[in-house]
Amino acid sequence: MILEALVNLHFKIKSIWYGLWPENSPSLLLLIIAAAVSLVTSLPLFYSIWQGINADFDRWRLLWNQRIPALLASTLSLTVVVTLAGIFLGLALAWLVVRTNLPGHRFFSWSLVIPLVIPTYVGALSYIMAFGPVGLLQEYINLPADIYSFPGVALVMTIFTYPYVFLIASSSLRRLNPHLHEMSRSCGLSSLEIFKKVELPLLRPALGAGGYLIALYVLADFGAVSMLRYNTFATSIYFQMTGRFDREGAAVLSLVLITLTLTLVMLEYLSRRRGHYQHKIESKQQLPRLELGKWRWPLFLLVTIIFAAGVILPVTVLSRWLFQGISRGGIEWNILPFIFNSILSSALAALIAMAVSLPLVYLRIRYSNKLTETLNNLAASAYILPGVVVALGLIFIFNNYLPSLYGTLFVMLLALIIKYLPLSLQSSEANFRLVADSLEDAARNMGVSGLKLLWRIVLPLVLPGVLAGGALVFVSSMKELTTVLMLRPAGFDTLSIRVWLQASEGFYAEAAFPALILILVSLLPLKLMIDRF
Amino acid sequence: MAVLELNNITKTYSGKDKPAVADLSFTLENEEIVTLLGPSGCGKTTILRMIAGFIRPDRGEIYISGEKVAGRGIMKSPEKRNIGMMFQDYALFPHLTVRQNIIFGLEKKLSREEQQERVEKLLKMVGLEGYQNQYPHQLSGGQQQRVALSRALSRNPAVVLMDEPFSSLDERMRGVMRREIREILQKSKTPAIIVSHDREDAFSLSDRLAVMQSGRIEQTGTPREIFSRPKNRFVAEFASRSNLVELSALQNTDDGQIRGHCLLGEVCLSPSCCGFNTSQECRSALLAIRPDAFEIDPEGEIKAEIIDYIYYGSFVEARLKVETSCEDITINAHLDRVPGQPGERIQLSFREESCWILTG
Repeated sequence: MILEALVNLHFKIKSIWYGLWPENSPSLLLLIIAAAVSLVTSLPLFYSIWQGINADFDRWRLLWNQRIPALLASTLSLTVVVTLAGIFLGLALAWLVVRTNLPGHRFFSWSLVIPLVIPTYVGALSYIMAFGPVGLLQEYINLPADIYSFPGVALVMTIFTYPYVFLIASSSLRRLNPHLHEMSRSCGLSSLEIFKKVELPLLRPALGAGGYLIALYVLADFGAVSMLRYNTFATSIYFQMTGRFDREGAAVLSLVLITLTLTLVMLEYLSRRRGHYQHKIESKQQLPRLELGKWRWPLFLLVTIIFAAGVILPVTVLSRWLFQGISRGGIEWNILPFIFNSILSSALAALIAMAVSLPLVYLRIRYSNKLTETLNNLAASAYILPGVVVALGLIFIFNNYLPSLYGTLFVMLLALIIKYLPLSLQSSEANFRLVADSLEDAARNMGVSGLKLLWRIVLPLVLPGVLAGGALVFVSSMKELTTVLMLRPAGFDTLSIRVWLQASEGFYAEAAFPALILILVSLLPLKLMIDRF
Repeated sequence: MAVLELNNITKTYSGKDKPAVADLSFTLENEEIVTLLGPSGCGKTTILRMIAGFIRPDRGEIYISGEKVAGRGIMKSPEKRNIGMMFQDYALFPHLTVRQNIIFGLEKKLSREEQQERVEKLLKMVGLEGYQNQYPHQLSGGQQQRVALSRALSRNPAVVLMDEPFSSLDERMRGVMRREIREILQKSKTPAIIVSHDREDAFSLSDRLAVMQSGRIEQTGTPREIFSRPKNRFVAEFASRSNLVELSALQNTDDGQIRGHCLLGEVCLSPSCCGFNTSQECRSALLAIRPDAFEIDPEGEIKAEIIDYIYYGSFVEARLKVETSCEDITINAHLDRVPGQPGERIQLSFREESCWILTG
């Protein structure tokens, strides 16, 4: 009886298995690993949603009456303003750099990306150091505007996020088919008309994609926004959690933030499905750059100012404070332990992310079906999530079920991996796609299969992409502030924590040193960042 | 004993209604080189991949050297079938040297000396001595193909499978490699199945051809048989680009000839030019006339007008409009004997021994 049921079950499982993989099936071990990874990485999201849904109804009403409307207004207004400003700035710069004879366009084409790799909280800190109440400029002039204000936050956020649009828009502009231009010219259109009628419509997907990334970033950002004393959902969740120890309230706010984020994702998905232009580039010829004429140098000045605002100003201001601190003496110089902590945690996160991304990506590429696709999407879901939400989910889970692990390095690493695994997945995937299926078929044909095949054929060929992904995870983890702040073991201070702590105490000179180191580290994968788009 | 036997193989890909391979049976004899010839999408690559073990057939059995490798619950994995495969893109491992590519998978099975011996023997056979330590990207297309072939032969496989072996070579290299590959296969006494959509590849390389369409084998036979005695309309048009005209009022004459009527006039052919038994009730048939069967003949009975020419180097393909017919015919003529300008009228006849009668 039981035996019969077991046999039946066996056949049922077998038929489902063959239904998933009609041709050939992957190794069960890989599938189990991949499933486990995507389950663990998506758990915080689901758990914090669960917590938010299960929160007391009265708590919901209270928050809804008191806090949420104001937070919605402040969060959404900042998101909208920064996104629009970023799209405008990014597009204008991309067009100038790619399509015109702007002096130094070659230099600007990569240097205007730099602000993107500088952590925003370091950027914000440098603006506070320059324009704040005790800022450098206060010695010379009386600043009319307050940096701790909506325009101040919006300006800083725009300066450090516009490169998303700049990168995507300039790569799209470069890929525009030159024949379209020549065609429009021969139809008698002026340069301005070509821009309006041809280039802009074709760039719309790029602007959408870039704007989407900016909006996601603003929704998620905690460090810069809270340094500039602005309130968004991300900062409120943090203070609800750490200041008021109100976990239920934090869960409610975080559910609202998740909803906002997912709405944005849905919007992006819908717009991408609707308008999709395809243009193939066949010709290798280059379009002549547009002559700017008398506008050449004024525009150069403008672009230089923007470059200075995002790169030169932070570096100069931070160095100034550092030297002031040195000359006054009394700076805590020994930051080696923090460097060590940063490198240790980031390296571990990068290594683990590289290792666990392999089975996921391999299954997705080689055994593509709904199941493997879902596993990958689950594992990548954390990329869109604000760090506070990830951290909050982990706090809930570990406090409730594994209290002995709470506050250990393990949880902090888990957060880093969950947040940055998508970077590693994306980078590995690009390389996996380059490995022809026939290579694996050839290896199996020659009697080598399974893990041996992965080790001898697949791994050596995908290694560059996997390592590049690891490098991105490493640097992102070095810069990571939010989750580290919320989950680090007591006393485990990293460089980013150091910047944050010193800055919030007003010790700007002390904050400057680790901040400069972080900027240096951030510059390392600049080329990888540029190549990704 | 057949080296390879396919019995009633059927394969339908998920999401497709029509089978890619339908109830197909086929055997490969020892030391035989067979080409599966057919237009793209006819299922020939699917067959190859089923033999190699990358695809599981829905029905039917596959035997390699008498051993069942697929069918009725048995599915031997590709790494356990002793088959050498040459891929369309060669699939040389880019991070391994020529030597490492060739002995891939044999490192533990052979001693160092045996490995070296085998690599040298194979490279000598394909004429690439001294290339052991080169990487694939350092080799030309033809050289890469030779490495791929020696790799396919390295494990003394029961059969070698080649998927469109010449598709990535230029015209000149193709000719060279066709001859070389045939020689190497014969020298190593390895039977082979080649998949191709190119008639010239198929005719020049194989002992036997299997012409395929829509997952079925339409006809198997030697290149000569396929070329001059096509079984049906598809084979006649695809393999020899024959002109097909309808033949009616078929009858056996008293002197043993077959007489019939077609748009080109009365024809009288010997029974050896007929693919079926005319004594049976069969009133209509098709007459296949190869383009090379026509001759410009001022006495010829066929009157036609030249429409246009296509130049193929040493010969010319002319499209003609026959006065008595509404269909065009194509003929081949030597470059030096181009019959006239387009629009001119010419007379021609055809050699009856180059014709073939098939059922309509």
